[in-house]
Amino acid sequence: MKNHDNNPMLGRRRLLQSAGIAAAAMSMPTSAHAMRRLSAAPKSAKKGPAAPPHTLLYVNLRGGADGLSFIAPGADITTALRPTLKLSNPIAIDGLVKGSGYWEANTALGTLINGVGSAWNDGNLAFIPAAGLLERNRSHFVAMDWMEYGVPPLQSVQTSGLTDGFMARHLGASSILPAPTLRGLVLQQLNTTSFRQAPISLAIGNVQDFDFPGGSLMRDAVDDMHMQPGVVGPLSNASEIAFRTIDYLAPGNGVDFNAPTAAYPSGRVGTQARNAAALVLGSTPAPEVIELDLGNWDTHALQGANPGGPMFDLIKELSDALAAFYEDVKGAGKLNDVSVIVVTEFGRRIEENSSFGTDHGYGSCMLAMGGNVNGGLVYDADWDAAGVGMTGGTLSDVTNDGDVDVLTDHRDVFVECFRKRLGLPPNGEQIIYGSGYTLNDRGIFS
Amino acid sequence: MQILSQRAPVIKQGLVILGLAALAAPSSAQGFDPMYHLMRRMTPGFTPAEFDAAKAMGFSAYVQQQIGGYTALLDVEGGVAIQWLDVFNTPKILNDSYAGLTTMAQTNARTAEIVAALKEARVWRWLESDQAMYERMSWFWANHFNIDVGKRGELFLPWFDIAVNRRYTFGDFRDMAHACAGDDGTTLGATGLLYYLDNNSSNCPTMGDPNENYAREFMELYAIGPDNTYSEADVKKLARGFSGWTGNTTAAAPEFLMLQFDPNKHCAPSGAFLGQPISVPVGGASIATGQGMINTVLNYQLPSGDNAAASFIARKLVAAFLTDGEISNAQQQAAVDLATQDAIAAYGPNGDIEAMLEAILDQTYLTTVLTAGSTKPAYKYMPPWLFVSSLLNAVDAGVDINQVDELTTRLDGLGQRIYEFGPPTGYPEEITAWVDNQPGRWSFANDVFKPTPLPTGQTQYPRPFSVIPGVNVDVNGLYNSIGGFDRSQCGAQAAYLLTGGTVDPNGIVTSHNMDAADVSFIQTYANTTGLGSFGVKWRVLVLAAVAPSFSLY
Repeated sequence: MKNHDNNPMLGRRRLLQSAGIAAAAMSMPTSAHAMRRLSAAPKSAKKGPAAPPHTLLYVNLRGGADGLSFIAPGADITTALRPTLKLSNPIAIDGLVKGSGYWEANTALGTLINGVGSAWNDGNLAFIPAAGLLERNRSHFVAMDWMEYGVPPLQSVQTSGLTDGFMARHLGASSILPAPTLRGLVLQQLNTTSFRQAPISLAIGNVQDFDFPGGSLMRDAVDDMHMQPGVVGPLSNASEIAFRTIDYLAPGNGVDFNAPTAAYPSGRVGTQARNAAALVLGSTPAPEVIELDLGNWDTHALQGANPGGPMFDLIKELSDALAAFYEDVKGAGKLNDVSVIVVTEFGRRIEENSSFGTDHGYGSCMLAMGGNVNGGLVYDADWDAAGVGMTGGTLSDVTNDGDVDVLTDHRDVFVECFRKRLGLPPNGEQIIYGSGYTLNDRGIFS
Repeated sequence: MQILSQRAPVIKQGLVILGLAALAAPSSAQGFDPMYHLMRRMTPGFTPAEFDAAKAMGFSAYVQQQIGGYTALLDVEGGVAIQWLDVFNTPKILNDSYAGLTTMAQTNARTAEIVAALKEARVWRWLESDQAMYERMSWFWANHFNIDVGKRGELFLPWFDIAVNRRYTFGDFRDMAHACAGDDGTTLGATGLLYYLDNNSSNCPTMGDPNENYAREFMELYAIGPDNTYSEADVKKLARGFSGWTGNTTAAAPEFLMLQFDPNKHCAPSGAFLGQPISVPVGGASIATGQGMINTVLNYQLPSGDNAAASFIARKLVAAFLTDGEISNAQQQAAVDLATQDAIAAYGPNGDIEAMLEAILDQTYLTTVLTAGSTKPAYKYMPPWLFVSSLLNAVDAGVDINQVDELTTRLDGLGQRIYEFGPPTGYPEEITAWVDNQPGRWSFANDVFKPTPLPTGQTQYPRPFSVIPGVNVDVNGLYNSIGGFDRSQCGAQAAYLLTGGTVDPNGIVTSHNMDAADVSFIQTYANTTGLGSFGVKWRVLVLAAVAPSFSLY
């Protein structure tokens, strides 16, 4: 049998490795689009010093999660507006401005809040109420596109020429050293708009089973066929990255999927949070951004924010998964290497509808967690500055479509993390969001 | 063909203005076979025999045969539905199939059986149906009106798929838009979306404002799109118009969940809706209010003057059947724009889906998006279901009807859980959504062509092939078709086997439809690999299946 190493058709990838330049290649965006974007970046937004390894777990609650089912200013929520959704036996927590016990958290969040050593009591968990997309849009798909492209969705393609996601532009403008093999990871089979055209990124449904059983001969042939000149960019890029990632995830190469030992909830959310923890705990740098999407937050009917209800179960599953992730990362002494941001495309109406659910609204609640989060607080400064944080005056005097307002631009939370932890250079946020955006640094991350 | 005569001047004018005249003759594209690419759009894959038959028929005739000449698979109106499980025959039988089950475990097992059968029925038809475009198009509608069976969909999705997605496949969109709430004047009772989007639980005014879910998604996802030319007030008014709409059995139609109107759960809208006065019948609460508002939506005009529904559906059809790929030159863009304009014109007063498809599936447009200019073709990329069905059809695979679950399980692993996708937009088709999971495709192709071990005591051919249970691929025959011990033809023969083409009397491939670079690569691999004949044939077939030009179409 002929040794395939002698085959002149094969081995571009091996050539890179043997020449010792694989690491350099891995740290660079491979898509032509990303290269163009970098070269077009303003001078002031050149890459700054590379940051040390850090991973952002980006949790996206798809469907428009009801922020008031997470935390609410309990004294102001009236049973008249939310007769079946008023939080029962909530956990009293402190606001930055409103002070002790003003806020009430859903008991479903107990694993994150209660007890010695919890993320909240460690000061590593923050709630940001009245946060979200500044532009009011009650369409799931327009709002998601707006957030994930980082610019108005129609503008993204037709006007600005931007066709990549905001995470793609962040990764294109930032750097981490040593560079991880895989820079971005979406923990599902379908890629998301956030990572559209992202450099060295993949969407993988099951990272424990990402392999190609064809053997080295077939592997090299398939790899090289996709690297031929003229193969369309997305196919070629994804193929190349897939083979690197197969190596990265292979047993014995630094990722031990048995390393996480905390108690994760059963089901997809817990499994994927556990997988994310295994990557972070590995001996090789984990992806810079890992996206975990959770569905079913579009609660138009029978929302049930309290025990026995669907929303309670959703929040509890999220809380338990993040608490287990926190425990594993903390146990490994890597809390300062990890950040978590939880976001959703919009919140829901304050007043419940006649189906005992809530319809599409505006502001929701974001969460930030990690060793660099100035936590143990509800970031309610703007809430206070605006009076009560609800559009129209008071919770019981709701006008303007009855929404929770947006007082914290979701972009500010991400950019703080990008700038302080993920190697985004000064003014790099303008590559992501355009020149009209300026960071309002709330000090959520240090 | 009325629509053809209507759009001819438009095409001619566009071709001249935008310099497309040379492309009107498809033969100008060297080596480009528009019939092959048409079939890639109109079918869930095709066998070599089907390709030959279609080529003999010709481009326009094939379009006519697949769209205009289809016959309903079964007589839905008469209550004879998919002969897969008896429970699919009517909603009531489906519901009654749970009768007598006393434990949660029994109920869950029954649900799992129904969901599995629903998935298998769809996959089976992709592989076995003679009405290829009918299967392709009904799947388009299943995504357009996407229902995740996980939200109690086992009780209504099987029937909705028959009574809406399959019944109106090539019909009028106006009928379909009414039918998706069970309001098409038939006894079919396809009220599933009222349950799925919570309209049935709305209890206005007793418990507050009406639930907006169905009203919002009706406009945004089903009828006119999220174009922001309508207001939140319009959404709320339509929700009031739909309040009181539910599905339930009646004495006259005891087996169907007929659209019902409960005046006690209705909050009448008032004022204007989409700029038109709302008609509330004398006497107040009436189902006619919501029915009239559906028609207002369907008659809504965009600022451009186009009918909003026509524009929305035309753009979706163009993306699905012409291209959603990256446009890289003005000629491609012109073809897409002209196809969209033609489809809008073909929509007519009631949304003639058949005419819209005929307008879009035009040889000139297809040739232009795939060959015009010196830049990249505006390819589409096969989502997993289409890759799997195209590959299996290309090799004329037989599938054991009792083991279709092996394929639905494979599709689950590839990320396409049939009828189990949450976002109401349905599965995307864009390359950026699917391209990351290539190892899954490579593994599937590897297994399709991987020979099973010889049975005990057997030392030579024939032997059973393909390691996927229930998938009967004549790998032995495929191997024999490739090269013999002369490897110089491996690449072209593998390409011919999977993509059609022609061979001369000596069996030498004279044309195929795979990209020349891919074929050259496969051939070079065959020439230089140290593998034996058996091994190289297996790998050559896999390489052809995973070649970029097989998944790009």
